[in-house]
Amino acid sequence: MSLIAVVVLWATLTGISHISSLRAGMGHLAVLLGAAVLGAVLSVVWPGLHRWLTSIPFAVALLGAVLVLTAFGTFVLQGAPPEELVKRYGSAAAEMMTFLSLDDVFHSGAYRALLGVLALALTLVTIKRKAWRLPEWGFLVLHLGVVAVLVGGLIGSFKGLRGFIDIHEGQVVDSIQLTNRDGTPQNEQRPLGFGLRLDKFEIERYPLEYRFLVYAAEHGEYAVIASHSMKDAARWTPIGDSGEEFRLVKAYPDFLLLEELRESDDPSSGPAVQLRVYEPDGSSRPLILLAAEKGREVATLSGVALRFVWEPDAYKPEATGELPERHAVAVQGGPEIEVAPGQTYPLGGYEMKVVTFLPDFIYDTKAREGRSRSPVPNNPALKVSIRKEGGGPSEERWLFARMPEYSHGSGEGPKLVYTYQAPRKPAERELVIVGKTREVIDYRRGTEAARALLKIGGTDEDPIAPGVTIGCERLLERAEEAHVPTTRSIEWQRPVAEIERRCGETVAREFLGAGPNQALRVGEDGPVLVFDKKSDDIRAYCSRVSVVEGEKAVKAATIVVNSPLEWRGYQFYQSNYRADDLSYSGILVVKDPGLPMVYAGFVMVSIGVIFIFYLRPRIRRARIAAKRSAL
Amino acid sequence: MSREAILVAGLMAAYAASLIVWLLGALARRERVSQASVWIFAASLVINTAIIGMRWVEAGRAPFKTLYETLLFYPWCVAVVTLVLLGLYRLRVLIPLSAAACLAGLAYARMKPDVEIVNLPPALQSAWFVPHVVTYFIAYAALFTSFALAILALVRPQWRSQREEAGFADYAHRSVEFGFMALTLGLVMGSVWGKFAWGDYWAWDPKENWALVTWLAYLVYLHGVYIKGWRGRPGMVVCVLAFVAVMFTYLGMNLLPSASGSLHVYQ
Repeated sequence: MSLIAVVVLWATLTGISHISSLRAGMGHLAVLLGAAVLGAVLSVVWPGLHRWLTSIPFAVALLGAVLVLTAFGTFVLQGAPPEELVKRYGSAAAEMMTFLSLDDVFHSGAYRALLGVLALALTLVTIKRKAWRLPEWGFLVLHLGVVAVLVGGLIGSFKGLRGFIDIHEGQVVDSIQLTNRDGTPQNEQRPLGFGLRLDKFEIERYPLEYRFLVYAAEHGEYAVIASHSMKDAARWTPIGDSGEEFRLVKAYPDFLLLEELRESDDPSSGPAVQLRVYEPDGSSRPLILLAAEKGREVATLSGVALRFVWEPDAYKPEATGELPERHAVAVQGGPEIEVAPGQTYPLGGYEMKVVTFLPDFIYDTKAREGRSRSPVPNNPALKVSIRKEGGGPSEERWLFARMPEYSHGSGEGPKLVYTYQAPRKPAERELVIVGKTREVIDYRRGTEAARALLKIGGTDEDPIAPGVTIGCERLLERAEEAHVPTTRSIEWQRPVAEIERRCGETVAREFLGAGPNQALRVGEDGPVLVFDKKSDDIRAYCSRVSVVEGEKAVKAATIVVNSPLEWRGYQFYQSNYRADDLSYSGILVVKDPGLPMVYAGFVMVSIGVIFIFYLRPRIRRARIAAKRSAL
Repeated sequence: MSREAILVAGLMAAYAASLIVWLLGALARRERVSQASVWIFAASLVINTAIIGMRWVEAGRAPFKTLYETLLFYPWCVAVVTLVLLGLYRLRVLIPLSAAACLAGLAYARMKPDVEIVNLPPALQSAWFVPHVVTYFIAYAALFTSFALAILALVRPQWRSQREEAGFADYAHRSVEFGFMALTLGLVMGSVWGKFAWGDYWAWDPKENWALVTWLAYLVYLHGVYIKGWRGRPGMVVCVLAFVAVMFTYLGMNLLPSASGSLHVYQ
């Protein structure tokens, strides 16, 4: 009976709010006040209504109705645009829902009015029970507490405001952009009456932590199925269900593959020296020179040539003269002739035209032709065109100084050998390290200026350029190069994990760089191992702000999530940040004059429930037990 | 398996053991066996406490952040409330029901384990975090016992305790009273916290709405028992249904279309 009446009541209220056709703002107030006054007046002149409004069945029905509407408001998409509703529920149902305000239950006039009726009924029932008498205080506090929360909420929804401040470091903002409840901006700026200055915006982070993540494909999408700390991954750890395992051997925060010389047993390996170059900024790097390998026996540092030879007489710098660029071509086994691009030469029964020269040849697969990557003679190449003397078809081919085996064209012509001499200016200064005698000879403009014994392990005090010194770390007659993984620093600049993978009996060692781009995939569609840092690392967003009144900063505060700033009735909340603009902070501003009433209601409700549902039953039962034992 | 996974498996075995031992005691009508089930249940609580404590230490924060973590905590609360009721009213019949609930929670936890311990995001770094969650889960646990007792009341309406002449319905009512108190306090705390964190004490977020639905459902029950004819069966049915709302509030939020943007939904 009461249930039907409450449904009718809700329908009526929906109707009223439609007639008033004001679905927001003062319309609700009108509906609420109207309902309250009407209810109060009616209940005085009509005792039956009063009795009904304060009856338990009415309370149950009203609570049930609010319950059902609230649940409805979660099952039906709220605040969605009409076309979304139609798409989801069909046009008839959508129309129905819109008419009954079920698409925005919690802001509908009817829902609010039901809460208003609830507040009214609670007030009436408190009066009816004469709940101000001492034995009823629990009932009074609890029921009026709920009324206080509802009234406070009502005050807040009419007198409160919400706004937003977009602010950058150093900026002072003295008005707020008003927004709707859902955060969309209204067309109004409200002056605050004071200024808020953002002094600094900071993001605090949790300690950096790198982990191993295992991704596996499920329904075509990769998702994390396991995450292992570096400590845990020191033991053999399965990579998903691939049957493979891995373990971390060593993690390098700032990875560097260091070149190093080692003693070699291989009789074909040659002499080498490992130097260390100390730069003016305090950093140092290794420098390896190999006596027997062309191009690697010499290095230039700040204009000083460093050269390594084994035999004392293996090298003498030219005292004078520049070496010009020189191209020479020979039929294999025959005499060399010097050539220049653009010229034609007779060559052992052939006629050879030198077409072009590229110092750093690469083959451009798109353009289908050779081009030079740089002016540095890394891969000198000469394009020639040859044909038999006295006519016949000509054949074009590329000759490579560094890669003679690629020089031969497909034709039947002679095998040609190309030699290239890069142009060279004599070094102002040249340091020649002689391995056998362990000497360093200092040549100035090709003339010996000084000679000293090479110190192994030490640093040469004599700088070769301002601030640049070199030291000799190792000198070996038979050496091989090794690459030693190492870390430059303890900062996590370029993290790399050295891991072992085990599949059955086979164990392989690999380097896994950090980040999803360097993922290690096991099998075709198998799991993927990624070494990456923990992503949820933001601990706090902090806006250090000052309140500015007049020209003076009157208060300094730090706004973080869960710790708003309160000033002159406004609360300021840390609400937004921009990853690409770290001097920005988004501040939510709220003013709610109903808040003290709501909090008072919370306190009353809390005290009320503790008394009514915890203390009072215990007291009662204790009394009953006492009576029983007295009997 | 990680150390925690092994311990959780062990914990499930312990709760299962208390359930089985209780059944054996009931079938054989042996008082001592039944009593043993209580001790096993209490031992399970110790293991449960250890798991939560270890995770607390390892995470460096209260382990109530993720669904998995709360699914370890919920059985703990159920066990605590059950043992308190045992102490107060000697309701040993709760052991198998509570053990089954704990098992269900832990089984779900094992299906949805966290791949790693997540850091506490800024919104959860609040003094309200622990009291809000703990109060709510104690409420959920007490309301679970009211649910279990309500079902017992529907199955065995005639049963009366020897000490107090009270039936299952009376004990269910007492559980609701305590649970409702905790539910209300948890709601108020959440509301105040919401004000500090987001600027609103109430935002019509789906989880909040369902907390309200749950609260209203128990209010319907608590007022309904004053209606003639609601005492007994209908009241107990409301009690059972209200707990369905509790479970939906806890676990069902992912099913709601309106919850996609919610800050409350367990990911």
